[in-house]
Amino acid sequence: MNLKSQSGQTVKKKKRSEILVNEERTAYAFLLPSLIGTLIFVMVPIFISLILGFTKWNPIKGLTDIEFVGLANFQRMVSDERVLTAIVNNIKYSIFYVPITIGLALLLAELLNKLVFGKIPLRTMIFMPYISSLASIAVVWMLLFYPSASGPINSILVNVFKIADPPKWFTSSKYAMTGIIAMSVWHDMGYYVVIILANMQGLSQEVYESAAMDGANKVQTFLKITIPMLKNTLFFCLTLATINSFKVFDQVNIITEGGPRFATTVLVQAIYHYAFKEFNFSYASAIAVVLFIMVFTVTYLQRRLEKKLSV
Amino acid sequence: MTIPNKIKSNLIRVFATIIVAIFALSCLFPFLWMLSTSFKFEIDVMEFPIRLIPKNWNFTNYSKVLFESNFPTYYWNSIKVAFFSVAGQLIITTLAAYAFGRLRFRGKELLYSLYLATMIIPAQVIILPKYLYFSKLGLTNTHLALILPGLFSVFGVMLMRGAFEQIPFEITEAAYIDGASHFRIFYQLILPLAKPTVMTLLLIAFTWSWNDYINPLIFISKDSLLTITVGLQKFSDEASTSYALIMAGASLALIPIITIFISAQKHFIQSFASSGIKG
Repeated sequence: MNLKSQSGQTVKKKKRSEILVNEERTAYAFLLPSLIGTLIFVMVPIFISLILGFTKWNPIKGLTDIEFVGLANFQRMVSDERVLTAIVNNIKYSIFYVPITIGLALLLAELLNKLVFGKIPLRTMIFMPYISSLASIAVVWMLLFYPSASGPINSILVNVFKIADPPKWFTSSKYAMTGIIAMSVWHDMGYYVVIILANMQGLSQEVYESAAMDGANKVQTFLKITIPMLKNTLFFCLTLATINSFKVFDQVNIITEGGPRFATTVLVQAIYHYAFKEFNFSYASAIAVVLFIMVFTVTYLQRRLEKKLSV
Repeated sequence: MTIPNKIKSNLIRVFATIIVAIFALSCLFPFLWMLSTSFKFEIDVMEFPIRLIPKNWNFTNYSKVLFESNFPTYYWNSIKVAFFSVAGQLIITTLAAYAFGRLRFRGKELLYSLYLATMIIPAQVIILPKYLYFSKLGLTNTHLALILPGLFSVFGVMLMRGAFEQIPFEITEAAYIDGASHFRIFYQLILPLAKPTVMTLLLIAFTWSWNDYINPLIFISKDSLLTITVGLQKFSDEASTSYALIMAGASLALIPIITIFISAQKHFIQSFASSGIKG
């Protein structure tokens, strides 16, 4: 009896280890395509980018011609108007784009959450810009903001708001960035509305009920209950929007190509310019490294702050 | 004389609806204007007051775009690239997610955190090395250059892993003891049970592929291989001041994704919302 059960256990044990070996083999087999792909298309490229940034290299001459130049590429940036303006523009873009997008999204989510009827169609309309490609919609915005007084937006400004000298939008160095920011906010807002709304609907109703019993008004409840409870979501949205704002490119490249002069040049635009217009891959990679550091810093700060907030 | 609470809260509701409606209409306006302009004659494009329903209808813009330009080719290329990148991405990411979500193996935690770490690398930072690869391998000016990098989405793995983990393990253990292989369990049990999340990944992957601009811009220079985003840009450069014609092109570029979006809007919105919900 005793013996039988013991041998039964060893059989079981053997089977268990067989199961584990089999599981491990299957796991590696299933992971293989994804691992190889990520290695080739993400890991190796990031190292190539980092290395290239410290070299002077002519891609046509092949790998033998590669020459390490230390920080020369980065030193060049300090006096390169295109790159310096790009960094300033990126920061300018982020400073306006992030708070406006998230602020409007929060407001719209809160209002949508309170609506009784029309909630679904209105949400659909607000989300629609986000699924349409920036590239295609940029072509439409270019025309909507046609610089002369007869352009659709300007004709409203002239005839309805009686502005005699409407902005020349994308062709003026003063207003081009405003136009780009407006378009980006318009395009992305719906995405954040949907995220915030989904998280809002997950909040416990009890707190709201007791707040209503205590006689708190709508604005108070919003400021004192909704926002603190959505803290993590809002924080996530803010960092996501910040990171995405560093990567802005499509609409800029289509509408202004970074111009007029450098008015709307951004970092990705500068990378594209140096790599594919001047074929200077090393310098372009160095700029990519700067972009990477910016994104990395924000992500790192986010993680740190998130840990602090959640404690 | 205080206003009764009920009327007050109804007033607030009406007010909220109006504000949201104004924003919603301004989200819609560029689309409506694009569509109406695409049916106008050139001379009516810049008219004031702006008419959303054209005074004189002009259908020739569409026939010009469809029959006298490369648009049908761009369309076909976009469909082809989207199909292969979405299908490939679904296969590769769900397999990897099954390993991470449901199997025990050595080095799992380390590997997974390495995996997640790659998510902070912006695609724009690694696009130059990819260009070097593809030109070395002779893959620039092929659709493979657009399909390949999209297949290995870490985001997809993360999304699917979350869904797979939540399926009770009792279900698969029973099947395993009955002699089913992991592949069969994955294919016949796990995938069908995680169908909503598979749909989510499908919609997101399709949207990304269809709307991709920077990759075709950099990897494709041959006109006959361009996808719709860069194709439209090229088309509008060539059409220069034929604005009604450009709007017909833009409408054609946007109609497929908007149609899919509207017909599956609930699922679409849930998908994108879930991509942003932090657990």
